[in-house]
Amino acid sequence: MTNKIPLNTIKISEKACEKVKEFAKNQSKEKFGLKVAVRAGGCSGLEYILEIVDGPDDNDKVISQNGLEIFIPKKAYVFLAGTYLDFSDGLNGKGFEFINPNAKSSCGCGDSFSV
Amino acid sequence: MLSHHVVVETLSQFKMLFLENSIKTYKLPSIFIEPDQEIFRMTGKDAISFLDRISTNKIITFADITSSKTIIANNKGSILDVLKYKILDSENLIFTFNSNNNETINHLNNYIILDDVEIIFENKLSKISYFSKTENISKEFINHSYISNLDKSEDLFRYELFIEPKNLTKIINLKPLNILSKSEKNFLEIFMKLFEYKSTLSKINPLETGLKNFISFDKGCYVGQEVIARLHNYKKVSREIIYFKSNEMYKINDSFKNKNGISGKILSIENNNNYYIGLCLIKKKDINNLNENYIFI
Repeated sequence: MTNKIPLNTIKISEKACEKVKEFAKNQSKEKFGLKVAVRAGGCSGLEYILEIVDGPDDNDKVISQNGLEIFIPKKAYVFLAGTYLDFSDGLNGKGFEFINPNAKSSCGCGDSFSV
Repeated sequence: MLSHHVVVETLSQFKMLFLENSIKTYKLPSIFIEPDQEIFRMTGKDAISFLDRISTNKIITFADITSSKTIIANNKGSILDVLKYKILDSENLIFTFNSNNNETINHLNNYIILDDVEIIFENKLSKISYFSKTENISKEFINHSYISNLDKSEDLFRYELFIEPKNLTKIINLKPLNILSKSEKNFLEIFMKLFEYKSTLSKINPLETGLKNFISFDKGCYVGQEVIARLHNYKKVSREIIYFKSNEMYKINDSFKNKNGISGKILSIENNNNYYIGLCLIKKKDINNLNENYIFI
């Protein structure tokens, strides 16, 4: 599935969506979306940012999936196009996991990448 | 391929030789002046956090603002440049860098994606390298410096001070100081095991080059941290700086090998009459075999 994501979007798994909604509920948020972005940092140079926010900023691309709105700043989109966001829990789970076709390498924990 | 026999003297012998022949003849304190050193400003509400995320040192706003150094590394942990910086307030810091190469500014700019950060040219200053046998320095120097850093070795101290040319003239007029030649300055730096990071140098880890004090091991991730922290924690730093002596001139970053393969590379070199001396990075396992043949490649 992750190989088939077109570059004009990003995909989020149902499980990741559920987890975001669970976090939003814990924060007592009724209207919310998931901000997905990148910034300088992490061991590999670019680190992912995930944040539950009230709504999009002016320069955000908005994508709706599984009843969840995803907001991606346009400047960050070039680094995220075609990304699949999944969630795995349990003792061996990695939490939120990015499968990013733009990443040439990632750090050991998977929180950052280089292009 | 030409092969050259490189005589690498043992540390203690060479240090004594160097002391006798060079350092003791210098009148200290002395200064060396380099004009036109570019200073940049990093400004914006994310400026401090940005530099903290992409470099090795813990960049925090101190109540008592001081200068320090931080290393820009790539994601393999190799040095790209060494920044000397001073935090001015919560949204501004000034910095200069060793390589004096625009590639460093381009590299930093490439990482500005969503952060509120702008890098702007600030000023051209004179860089003063102040060598002394004690840590004492005239307050005039420190008070007039935009950025000041102190490096220590067993026997010597070096301040690097970035000062406006007009103020420098005033300070020197107050108390005249001996002026070093470029060659004398280089000898003193070699003796202190200091070298200026040049953009021609490649694949050098900061832990190999005496920059450990400018690496934070508790601040979390920064670019290159995974490799640097692993080398540190598992004690896997494989090379260290030693003095070398040669009868031929080599270029910075030239590599040399022994029968076991590549052993090291040249970090700095200076002519001393009929031979050359400098600093090289060499595999620790080869340090006990320094008198064998090394071939430059």
